[in-house]
Amino acid sequence: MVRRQGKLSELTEQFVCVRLVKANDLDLSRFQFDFDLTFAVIFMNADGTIYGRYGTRSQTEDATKDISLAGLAEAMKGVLTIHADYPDNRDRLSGKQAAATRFKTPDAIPSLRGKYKTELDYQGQVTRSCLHCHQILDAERLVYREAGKRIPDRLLLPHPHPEVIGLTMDPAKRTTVSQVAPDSIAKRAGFEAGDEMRMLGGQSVISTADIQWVLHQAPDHASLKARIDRAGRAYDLEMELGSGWRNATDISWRVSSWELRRMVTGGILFRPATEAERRSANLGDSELALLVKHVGQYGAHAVAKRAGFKKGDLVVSFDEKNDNMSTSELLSYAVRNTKPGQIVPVRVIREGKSLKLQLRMQ
Amino acid sequence: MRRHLLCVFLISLLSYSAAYAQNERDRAVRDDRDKLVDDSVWLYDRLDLAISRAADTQRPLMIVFR
Repeated sequence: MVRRQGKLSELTEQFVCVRLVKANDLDLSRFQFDFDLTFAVIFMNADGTIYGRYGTRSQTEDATKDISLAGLAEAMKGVLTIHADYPDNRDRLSGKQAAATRFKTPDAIPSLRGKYKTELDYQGQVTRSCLHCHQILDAERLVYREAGKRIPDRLLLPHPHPEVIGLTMDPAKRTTVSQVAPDSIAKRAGFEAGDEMRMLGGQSVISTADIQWVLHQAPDHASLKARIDRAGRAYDLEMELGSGWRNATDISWRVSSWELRRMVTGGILFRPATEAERRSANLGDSELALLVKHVGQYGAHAVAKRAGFKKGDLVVSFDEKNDNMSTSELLSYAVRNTKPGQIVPVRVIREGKSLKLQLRMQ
Repeated sequence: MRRHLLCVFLISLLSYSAAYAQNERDRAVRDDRDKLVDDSVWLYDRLDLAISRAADTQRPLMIVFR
């Protein structure tokens, strides 16, 4: 598609373009991006200095909400400007480089060790010989889970979408804000619709993915400086990331949530209950109401099935908690607060009757 | 006996469907590689070559993970 688009085609000629189709031997000390994406770009100098990232997703239904060919073209233009200024701008790129990593390649992560060869088997079952990027995230989380340790927030809630801080970005632009949510971190910092973010956390930003990278690296409690362009004038804004700011990150759309569901829901796929379903169960807005959309049927994803859960069950309490939670919040809560082998009581409503089931954590 | 035959038939059908889907995915990957492998702009899965070409031509790299 990129090759067929005239404007993009002209831009790509100013780059050396390479397509990587597997993560089997990915150098994790160099390439770090949102591993749940099906399309991600890293822009880099030949000396290995990363200029920026492109590729964002916030749900599964409509990719154009977050990315577009026009947005990619804008990001590429931004990269060309950075490249022209390089290396004088090196200080603004230092934060974009890969962070220290425990595992240099996927093969170094225990649950992936020895499972994939470096090269794909094009003569045989080529897709099965391919290690998918999201498996890296799955495997890194598993290291902590199996050791009975808390999964770090950066692994559990990776690459927070700007909507977490209240910013809706224009997918056709580089880093232009299209909406600012009322009573949000960004609103309190003074962001307005139409602002173009130029720098964040001391880094040049050329895409929403770059903003996510800064948020991904941000600690639990921090001040984050942003330089914006508003109607041709530069302004400096400061965002206060309060404790727990990252918890608003939605991970339910992520492919890697499948493995989290194995760990803490025994293979259940939820959807939020509708207003009618809430009313029918006499549940208020502040109460938990997640409907079982699907129950896994096989192996470790059938733990909920074996515990007696059925499609259509309305989960109204989990681990004795009945506060309203999204699927993402429930996954985060359960991963943080349970250990493999633990039995968690779950109350469901089925055909008007309340049932208490026992769910084994994995 | 009839139920047993029906089960065998359904399992065979499911296995065939899964194998067919797997073959289609494999074919799509191979077709994709064949289209790109001799492309004048895009390098297919050759990062080292891309880096040396970027160094030689002073162009930035665009690395697509797809």
